[in-house]
Amino acid sequence: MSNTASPRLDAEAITSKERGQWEMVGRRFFRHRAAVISLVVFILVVLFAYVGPFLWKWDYKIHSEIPSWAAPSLDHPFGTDKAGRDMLGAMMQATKQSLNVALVVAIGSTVLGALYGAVAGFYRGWIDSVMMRFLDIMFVIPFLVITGALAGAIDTSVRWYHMAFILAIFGWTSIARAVRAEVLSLREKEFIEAARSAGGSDWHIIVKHLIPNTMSVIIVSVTLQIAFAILSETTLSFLGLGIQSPDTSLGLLIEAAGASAFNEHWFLFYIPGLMIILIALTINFIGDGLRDAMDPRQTMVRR
Amino acid sequence: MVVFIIRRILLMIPVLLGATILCFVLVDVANDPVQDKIFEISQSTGEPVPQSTIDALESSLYYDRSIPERYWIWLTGFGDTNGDIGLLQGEWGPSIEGSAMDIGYEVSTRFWITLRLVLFATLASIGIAILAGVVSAVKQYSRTDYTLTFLGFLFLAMPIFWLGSLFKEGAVQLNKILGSTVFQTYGSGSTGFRGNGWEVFMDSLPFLIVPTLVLMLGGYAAISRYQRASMLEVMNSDYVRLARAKGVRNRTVMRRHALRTALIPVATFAPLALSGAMGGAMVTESIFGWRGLGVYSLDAINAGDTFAVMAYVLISGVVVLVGVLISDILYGVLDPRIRYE
Amino acid sequence: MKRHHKAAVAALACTALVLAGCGQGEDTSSSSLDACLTDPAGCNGGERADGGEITWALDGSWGTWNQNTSEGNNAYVSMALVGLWPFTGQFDPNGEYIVNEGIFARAPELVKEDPVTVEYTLKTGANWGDGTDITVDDFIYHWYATSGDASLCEGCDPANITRGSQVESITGDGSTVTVVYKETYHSAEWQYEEVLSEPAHVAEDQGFDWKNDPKEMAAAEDYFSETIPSWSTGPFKIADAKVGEHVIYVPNEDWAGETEVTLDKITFRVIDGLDNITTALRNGEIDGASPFSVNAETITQLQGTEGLEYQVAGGPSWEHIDLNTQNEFLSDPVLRQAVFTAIDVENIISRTYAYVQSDIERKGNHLFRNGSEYYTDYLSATGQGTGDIELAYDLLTEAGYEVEDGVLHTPDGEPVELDFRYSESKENRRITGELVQANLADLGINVELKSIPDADLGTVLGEGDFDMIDFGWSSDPVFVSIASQYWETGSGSNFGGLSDPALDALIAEVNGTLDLDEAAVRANAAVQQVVQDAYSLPIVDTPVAVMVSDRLVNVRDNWASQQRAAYNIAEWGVEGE
Repeated sequence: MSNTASPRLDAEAITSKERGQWEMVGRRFFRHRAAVISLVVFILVVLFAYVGPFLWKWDYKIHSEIPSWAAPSLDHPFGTDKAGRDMLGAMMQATKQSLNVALVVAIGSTVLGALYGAVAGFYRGWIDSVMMRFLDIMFVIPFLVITGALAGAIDTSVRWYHMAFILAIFGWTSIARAVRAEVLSLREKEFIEAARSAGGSDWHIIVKHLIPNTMSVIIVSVTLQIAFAILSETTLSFLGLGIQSPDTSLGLLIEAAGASAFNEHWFLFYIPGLMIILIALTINFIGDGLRDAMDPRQTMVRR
Repeated sequence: MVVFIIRRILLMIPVLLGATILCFVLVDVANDPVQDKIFEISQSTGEPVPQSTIDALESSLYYDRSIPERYWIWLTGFGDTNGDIGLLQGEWGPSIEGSAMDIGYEVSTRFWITLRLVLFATLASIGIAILAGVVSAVKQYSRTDYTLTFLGFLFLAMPIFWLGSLFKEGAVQLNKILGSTVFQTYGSGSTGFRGNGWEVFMDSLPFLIVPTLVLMLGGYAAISRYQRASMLEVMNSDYVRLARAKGVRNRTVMRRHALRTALIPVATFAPLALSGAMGGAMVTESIFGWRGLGVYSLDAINAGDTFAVMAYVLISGVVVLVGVLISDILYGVLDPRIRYE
Repeated sequence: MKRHHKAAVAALACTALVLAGCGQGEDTSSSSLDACLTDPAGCNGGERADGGEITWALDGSWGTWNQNTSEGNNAYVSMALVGLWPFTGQFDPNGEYIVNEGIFARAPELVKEDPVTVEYTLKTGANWGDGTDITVDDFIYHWYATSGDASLCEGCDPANITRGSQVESITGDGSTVTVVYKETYHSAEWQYEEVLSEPAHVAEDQGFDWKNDPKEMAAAEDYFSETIPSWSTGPFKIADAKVGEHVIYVPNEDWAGETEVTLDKITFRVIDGLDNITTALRNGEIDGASPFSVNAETITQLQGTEGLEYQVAGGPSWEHIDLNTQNEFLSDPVLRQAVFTAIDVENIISRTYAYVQSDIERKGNHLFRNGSEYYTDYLSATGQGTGDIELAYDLLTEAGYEVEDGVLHTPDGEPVELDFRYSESKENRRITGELVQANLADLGINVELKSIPDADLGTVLGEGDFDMIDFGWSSDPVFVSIASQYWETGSGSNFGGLSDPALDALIAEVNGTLDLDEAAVRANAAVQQVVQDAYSLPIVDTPVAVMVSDRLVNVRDNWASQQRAAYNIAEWGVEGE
């Protein structure tokens, strides 16, 4: 990483070497200190959730040899809960489930939203009008109500993939709007004309030309979707409308901790809460860094 | 201008209709509250529920009709009804909770409870956000700017339910230290309290402070980012530079020119923030036991109470659309470059 | 319109009901909730101060004011209206029945057995709190409302018509009211039947001709559903109320009961969620609550707070595991027997309910509570619930089952697989499932845990969509109709589809006697039969807690009453100086 974070003297204007667009973006991004730190922390969180369970001796299940309500110690760095569950193991599992939801939602809703926005912007006219009215309808429907109602409709207990599916179905509207706005201006550009006169089908133009050129918008929104999904999923789980046992999530862990913020079981409350903040915070900084890096109008790069 | 507003209001109608149809189908398909109720009765009386009771329950809740039919009578009240349903006739439909629970009455009283909570919180968060945004912009890239930016990001990343639980428990601990119940943790006012507006307000203060603080912190971050950006844009604009170049005092430039222009985006954003916060109050309300609209919708979802959910969807939809409309109008009024014909 | 005549407010501060806890205030052994173990009906007694206010939290809400209807069949409205409702009587925590002192001069009497004829004697001055005395019309009103008969009440939706449909006639003569039942009525619990609900004269004042027109009768029922009761037959009357949110009581000066009411005001307010109740109690916003669930976290919170008392005991419902006899494998009684034998109930209890109630006992009888005079443990002797894998294994091999590669196969060579279902938010039921899974794995049975969304338990049970299921039944001291409800062939609540003609015959006999002791003996015979059928395995009476500020007096939990701790609301008070 250190070799890409070039010294500040090496400013773009001076160098004569030609650089690709993505290389420039990368350079600008790595000059955004908060974003870089956040990226490192986020990667650590991901490793914690997905690799951690292979390294740590306890899983997230109840074991009779684990004492209940043990304070954090070397054996149980995050303590244990009432039923005899190692909280470090439980945290790994919960973080993993919450991240699963977040990543699936980010990818799912972005694909859905980008296609929808590109189609609406490409065809314009009545197709666009109808599609935009539908977006208005989705905008008006209260998000927590509709997702909660759908989660309640699942007749076994709600697992993370149910939640991811539901959040993705209702979380794509902002991306669709952003992509449509970009496409509206892009579709008048010469290269689209060229593709069209060369006989490219509509689908080909949308997927091969329009969407790749809105990538900067899309990438930023993917990161913001991750933060959005983490917060919505944990909120719904906290309200009892989201993921249910035997599955777990960070929201459920906080809900289970109840009012223990100031008593001897404080660790049950703070650790999952801080994990949510950590994920959402780092994601927001990464998104901020990416936006700065990809926005050509951005002249001043923050240190 | 008037034509513009009327046209916009007319456009709201199909959007609201679409939203209610979509919600009605999703909520209705997802639940069978009559069967749940019957099971509950048989479990608690320990005796079978008579078929006549089941039939009466189904017909009083209109569960003996098909879904499209139920939507139609919910909307219009035309056809064979008990006279308690039909939006066009001012009836919101029966609630599963019982006949003493009038949905129209519930949502109208709860609307004000939620508004009281959200109004204070939004005003406070806008105030703080403007202050923080301006300071950040004026002292761009200073330590203050970074600290404020970081705090903004922090609150943006903080789940409201976690912050709420923390503050609630904190209030209990503070009460313990103070030795008296200064902060209440549950409800929006003393049980059954009656009085004039001022008395009700004074009575509600111990209940209001902590949840308002929570909502305020949750809302301020986004607006302060917004304010900072718009302030920076104005400060780099030509006319501010010109004013400075002419030797106008820095403070005067900031107050009379920069801030005034930079407030326009935030002012137009305020109605959106308010309508958004009405929706987001659900979590705060449920933690602090406010009997507002958000909690009502939550209970209705859990009970599969379709008509109650619909009432919430309709009201929150109107609130959001009106928020957008006011925001657009404000934009036109405040920004001289925009004209509506 | 309220007449303030001096109803018989006797100087006696204590009735027979509270002798144990009242009048002997120095007896410190009974002055706290800890004493409830030895003195269930007298603990937390003491001198009451004159005056005082209590705020009590309810953990759920309600949407109607009329308890006759299916919507009004809600534990919370029955708690909210406890201060004014015309109960026939209440079971105390010892399971003894105490007739309502504000309405009846003495317990109902059985004057004739064939047909069953019961005579009620009203107390002089028993009234509706608005100057009108209680009369035979009120008895008739209640009958019509709960008859399920369209010629008496057309369009009514009573929650339960077991008694109402059996009434032949009701006549009155002054303070004596005589209820004649139909030939088919044989309940040994005739003395516990509820006979009053809403005031008939209020219906008439509102212009409902309920006596002659069944539609008007239904309209009167609707009126009562939507109207906050302005009347009261109890020690308190409503000063202010909002449906589903709160009820504020002040003393009812016209009450005919003898117990002295000391409190100036009682507020019942709804607080959703156990955490919120505990926090509000610690914060001094409420004085007490008896919520329908309790968890270990709550206990920790309560332990750490000064000025609070709490007590955990078996509550008004009991947990059990049912097997679906319609399942392809479980239709074989031998397999059912073996499954129940392999489940280690004591181990389940020690890892679940024992965390909140340290002295909890395994439940040994489906119909009678441990410690009841009719209680006999028929379960232990059979080996069910012992976790004895060898015994279970022997049962199976004798019947031709075989274990191959660690998987149990039926005599026909099919591998046995079962699911176990539970409500998703009930942590203890999930842990129970996990432990059952482990127990049955030792037998070579693969168990899949499948949770149920809370709102769908009724659907799952109704459709029989389970192999094994863990859920709760209510456990009040009334038992006569319960056996037929749970186990009779074709009963709507016989969810596992048990069909045993021998059991059906025993159940029919329970209903055939008017003597309670005899009925209990017959009910126990049915329990014995159902144990042999290996259909339902009781675990525990679900623990619940009462939690109160230590300044409250005479407030204690009561599993036997739907109103829980509020069963003796007239005696509630705050500590004297």
